[in-house]
Amino acid sequence: MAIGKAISRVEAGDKVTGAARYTEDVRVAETAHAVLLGSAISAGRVRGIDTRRAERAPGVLAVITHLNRPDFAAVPPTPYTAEGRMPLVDDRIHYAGQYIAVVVAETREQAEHAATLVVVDYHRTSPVPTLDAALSQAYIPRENGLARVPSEYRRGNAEAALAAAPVRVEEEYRTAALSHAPIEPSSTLAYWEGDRLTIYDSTQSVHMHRPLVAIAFGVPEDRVRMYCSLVGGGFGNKSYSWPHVFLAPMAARVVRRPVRVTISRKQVFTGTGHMAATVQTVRLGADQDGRLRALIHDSVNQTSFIDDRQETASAITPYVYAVPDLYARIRVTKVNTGTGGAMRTPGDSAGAFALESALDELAHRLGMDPLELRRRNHADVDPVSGRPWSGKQLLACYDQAAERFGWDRRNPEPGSARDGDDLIGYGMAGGQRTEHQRPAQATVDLTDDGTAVIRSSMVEIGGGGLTTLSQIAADGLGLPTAAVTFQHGDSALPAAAPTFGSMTSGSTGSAVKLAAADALRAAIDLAVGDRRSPLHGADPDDVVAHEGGLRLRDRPGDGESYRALLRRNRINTLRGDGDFQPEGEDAEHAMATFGVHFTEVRINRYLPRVRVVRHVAAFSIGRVLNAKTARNQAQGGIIMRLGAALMENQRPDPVSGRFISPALTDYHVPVNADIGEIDVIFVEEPDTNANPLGARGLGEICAVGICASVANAVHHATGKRVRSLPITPDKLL
Amino acid sequence: MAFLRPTTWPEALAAKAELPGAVPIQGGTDVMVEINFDVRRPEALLDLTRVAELARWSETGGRLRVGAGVPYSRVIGELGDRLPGLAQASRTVGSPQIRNRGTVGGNLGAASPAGDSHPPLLAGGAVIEVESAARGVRMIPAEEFYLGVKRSALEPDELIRAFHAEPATGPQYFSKVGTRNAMVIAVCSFALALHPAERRVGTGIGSAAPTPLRARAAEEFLAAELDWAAGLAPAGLAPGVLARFGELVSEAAAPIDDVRGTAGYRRHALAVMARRTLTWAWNDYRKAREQCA
Ligand SMILES: Cc1cc2nc3c(=O)[nH]c(=O)nc-3n(C[C@H](O)[C@H](O)[C@H](O)COP(=O)(O)OP(=O)(O)OC[C@H]3O[C@@H](n4cnc5c(N)ncnc54)[C@H](O)[C@@H]3O)c2cc1C
Repeated sequence: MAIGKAISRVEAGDKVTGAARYTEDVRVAETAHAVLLGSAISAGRVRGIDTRRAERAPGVLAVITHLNRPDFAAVPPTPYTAEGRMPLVDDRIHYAGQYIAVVVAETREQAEHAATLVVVDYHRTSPVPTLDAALSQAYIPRENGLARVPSEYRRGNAEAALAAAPVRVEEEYRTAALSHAPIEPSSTLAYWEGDRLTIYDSTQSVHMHRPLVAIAFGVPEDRVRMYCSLVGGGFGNKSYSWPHVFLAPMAARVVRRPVRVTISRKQVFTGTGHMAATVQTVRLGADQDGRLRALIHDSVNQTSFIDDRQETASAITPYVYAVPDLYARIRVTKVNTGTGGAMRTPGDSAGAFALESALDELAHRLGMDPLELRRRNHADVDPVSGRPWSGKQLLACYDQAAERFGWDRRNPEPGSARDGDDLIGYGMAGGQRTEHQRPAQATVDLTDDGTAVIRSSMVEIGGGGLTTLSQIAADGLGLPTAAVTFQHGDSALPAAAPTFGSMTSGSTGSAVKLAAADALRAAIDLAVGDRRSPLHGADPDDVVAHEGGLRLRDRPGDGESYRALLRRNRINTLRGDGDFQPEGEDAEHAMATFGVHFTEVRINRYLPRVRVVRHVAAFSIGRVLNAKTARNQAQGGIIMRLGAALMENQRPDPVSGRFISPALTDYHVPVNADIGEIDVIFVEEPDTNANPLGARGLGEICAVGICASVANAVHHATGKRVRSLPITPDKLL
Repeated sequence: MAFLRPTTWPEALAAKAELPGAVPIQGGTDVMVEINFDVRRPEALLDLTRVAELARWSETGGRLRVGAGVPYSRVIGELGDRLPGLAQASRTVGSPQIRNRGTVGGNLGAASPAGDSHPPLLAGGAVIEVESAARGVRMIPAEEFYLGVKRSALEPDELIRAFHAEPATGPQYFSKVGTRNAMVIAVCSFALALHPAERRVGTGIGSAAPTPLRARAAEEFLAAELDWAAGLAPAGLAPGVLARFGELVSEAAAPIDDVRGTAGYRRHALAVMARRTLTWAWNDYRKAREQCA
C-alpha cells in the first residue's frame, strides 16, 4: 500500500534545487512588464492623472488609467472574482493601494521607474478608517454577501433560554486583520493570439478562474488556456482572481505583446486580500452540570466599500455542540479597506477563538474541567440537520491528545504552575470545519512501459497533493509511487477541484481513485479477453492489480505485467476516466472535520511574553493519505495560527485606514526560534460515506482552535483573560 | 546612479569630499533595503568593501580600534571576550546572513534608535572615529554621536573609520525584547557595563527614545550604591537598589507607541531588563571577586 505511507513530496527535489518552475519563472519571448500604481489615499477620487512624463520615460510602452482603458466585456461573477468592481472602471478610490494606473515597459525596472513619474491629483474625502469607527453601522448583507452562507441561523429561542440559564458567560472577543503573507507574490503573464488568450497565473485553481477571465474579455471559455503548476504559498490569497489577473490580459491587448504583472511584496498585503478583523460577542447559558442551554454568537467584520464579504465567524457555531437554543449572526460594516478574502481557515479560525474562549470561561465559572465541559456537550449527530456524522472521531481525539499532552497533570487553579520566574499554563480548545466537496475529474493512463500518468488540472500549492494523489493512483494500479507521473495545472486537462477549501484529498483524490479503478478495469477486461494472456477467460472480479501488473486473487502465480499486456496488444496507453460527483444536500451523513488542541505556554512573570513551548493536536479527517505530508500540513497550520495568537496584526492607521505594516519588516509571522514542540495525532477511520477514497480535508481544520487554546493557556498561567488578538505582552502587564 | 569603488581610505575620503551626496555602502543591509523600497535614490553609491583597513581591528595600549567594516559575525567570533556586551547584541541582529554582512559601522551610519550596537557602545564608553579629507580625524564619544531619529554627528563629507573602546574590565550584558525570537527590530533594549577600576557604571537604552541614550541618573545612583569592594562579603544587591535602578532606567527613556509595542510596555520592559542585567552582572562580579580572594 502506498496510501498512508510517509513519503517525501515527489516535487521536493525540484524545489530544493531550483528546477521547479513557478509562474514567475515562465519565459515567453517579447514579454513586456507591467507595474501597478496604487492609490496613495484611501477614499476619494482621481481628479486628474498626468501620465505624460511616465509615457516619455525610457522603455515605456503604455500607461493605462481609467481615462484610456479598453472596456471589459462584462463583470465576471463574485465571489471568485475577488472584487465586484473591475479595476480602472472609474475615478473612485475605495482603499489605499487600489490600482489607479498600469505602466507597461520593456523591463520591470523601467516600468517601476515610470510609475513614480505619474502625477495624481486626488480629491480626498474622509475615510472610514477602522472597524471600530464603523461598528455602529453594521448590517446583514443583502443576497448573503460574497461568502454565500446564511447570515443568520436560529433554532429554538436562544434569548429566552439564556435568560433562564443558571450560569452565563457573555463576552466580547476581537480578532485582528491578518495577511496571508505567502512567499510568492501573485504573478500573471498573459498573451493574445487573435481571440485566444494564454495566461500563466499564480492561482489555486485554473478551472475556477479561467471562466472569469473569459467573461471579462468576452471570449468563449475554450479560447482561454490557463496554466499554474506550482504555487509558492497561497493560504487563500490565490483562491480568487484579484484585479491584477484582469489587468495583465488588458495590458497585453493594449501593447499587443505578452505582458507580465508581478505584484510587489507590499502589494501582496493590499492587493490580494486579508482576513478581516472581527468583533464578536458570545453569550453562553448552561446548567450547573455544564450542559449548554443557550448559545448566541454574533459577529461583525470590516468589509470594503466595494463588496460585502463576511468573515463567517459564527457560521460553524450551530454545528459544533449539542445546544438546543441557538442564534448565530454575521454582519459586516464598511471600512475604507480592500475587500477581504478567504484565508485559512475562513470564518472558523476567528469564530473558534470566540466560541472556544467563552467555553473556557464557562468551565472556569463552573469549576469544571474544560475538556469535560466539551465532552458533556458533544454533538452525537449534526445538531442542524439531525443527520449522523460521517466518521466523527472527536471523542477519541480528546482522549488521545489529552493523554499525550498530560492534561491530567493540570491543576485547574490559574497561576498555580510555576518554574522559577516562568508562569506555566495549560489550555485546550476544539475546532470544527464543514467538509466541502466539489465535482472533480481526472484521467489515469496506463502506459506500455508499465507506468501511469495522472492528468488533472490540480494546482500544487505546497500541501503535497501531487504526492498524495500519486499514491492513490499507485495503489489503484498496484504500482510503486515512483512509477506515477502527474500532468497538472493546465486548464486543458480534466478539471480538478480547486486547491482550496480542503478539497484536494476528498474530491480530486476521489476522481483519481475512480480513474485508476477505471484504468485497472480496462486492463483486466483486455487481459481476460486476450487468448495470449495467462488471465484469459478469468472472471474479471477475480483479477487484482499487483506489482506492476495483474494476477488472480487466489493464485498469485498466474498473471502478467501491464507492460507485457499492452505491448502484446499494441496499445500505448489505456485511459481510465474518473468523475467524482459529490452527493450534495441530500447526503445521508453530515460531513465535517474535527480537531482538538492542547497548548503549554510559559510566560516570564516580569516580561510577560507568551512562549508556546508545547502543542499537541489531534484530528479526525478520515483516512490519512501520507503521514509525512499530513503531519507537515498540520504543523504548518498550527504555526500559522500561533502567529495570529501572538503577533500578527495588520493594523489600520486610525486616520486614513491604510495598513500600517504592509511589509514583512513589521508584519511578523513566527520564525523557527518561536516554535516549540508540536505533536500531531490523527485518529484515523476511513470515511467512505464522505467519498470513495475515505479521506477528508486537513489543510483548514488544522488551523482552527489554536488561538483559543493559547488564550486559555494564558489564562491558566496568569489568571488574565485576553479577549483580543494578538496576545501581546502589553495586554498581560 | 554612479557607483564608486575606492580601494584605499584616502581615496574613499576624497570621493566623499568631492561628492558629499554619495551614500556609503558597507554591508548594504540598510542601504539596499532603502533603495529597494525607493526611499532614496542617491546620486552615487560609495562602496567601502574594498577598503581593506575598514575590515580590520587592532589592540594597542589597552585600547581596541575596530574598523567600521568588521561584520557582526566577526565581532562575535573574534571580539566576544573583549567586548562581551557588543558581542551579545551582535548575536541578536537579524539572521546569520545579516550578521555576515552587517557591520557596526553601518549601524552607526544609519543611527537608528533601534540599532542594536548602540546600547553596548554607550555603556562601554566607546568613541567613534570619523574622518574627512578637509578636516581630518574627529573623535566623537558615542553619547555625542546620536543627535536624532536616524541623525548623527557625522558631517556630509565625513566617513566613519572605526570605533574605539576599552576591552571589558568588568561584566557587560545586553538584553533585548522583540515581538518574536529572531529577525526582529528591538521593541526596546538595554546594555549594562560595570567598570570596577573607576567604580563606574555604564548604561545604554535602545529603541525607547528618538536616539539611543545613557541613563545617567541610574548610572550615578548605582555606582554610589554598589559595594564595589564586596569581595566575599555577604552583601548581595539590596532589592531596593535593584528596583530603584530599574525605575531610573525606565525614567530616562522617552518611548512612544508604535507597531512594535506601547510606550507603557517599553518603560516596563526597560525596568525589567535593567534589573535582570544588573543581577547577572553583579553575580559575575561577585564570583570574580570570590575567585580572586
Ligand atoms: C533582515 C534584516 C534584519 C536586520 N536586523 C537587525 C537587527 O536585529 N538589529 C539591528 O540593529 N539592525 C538590523 N538590521 C539593520 C542592519 O543590518 C544594521 O543596521 C547593520 O548594522 C547595517 O550595517 P551595514 O554594514 O549593512 O550597513 P549599510 O547598509 O552598508 O549602511 C548603513 C548606513 O550606514 C552608512 N555607512 C555605512 N558605512 C559607513 C561608513 N564607513 N561611514 C559613514 N557611513 C557609513 C550608509 O551610508 C548607510 O546610511 C537588519 C536588516 C535587515 C535587512
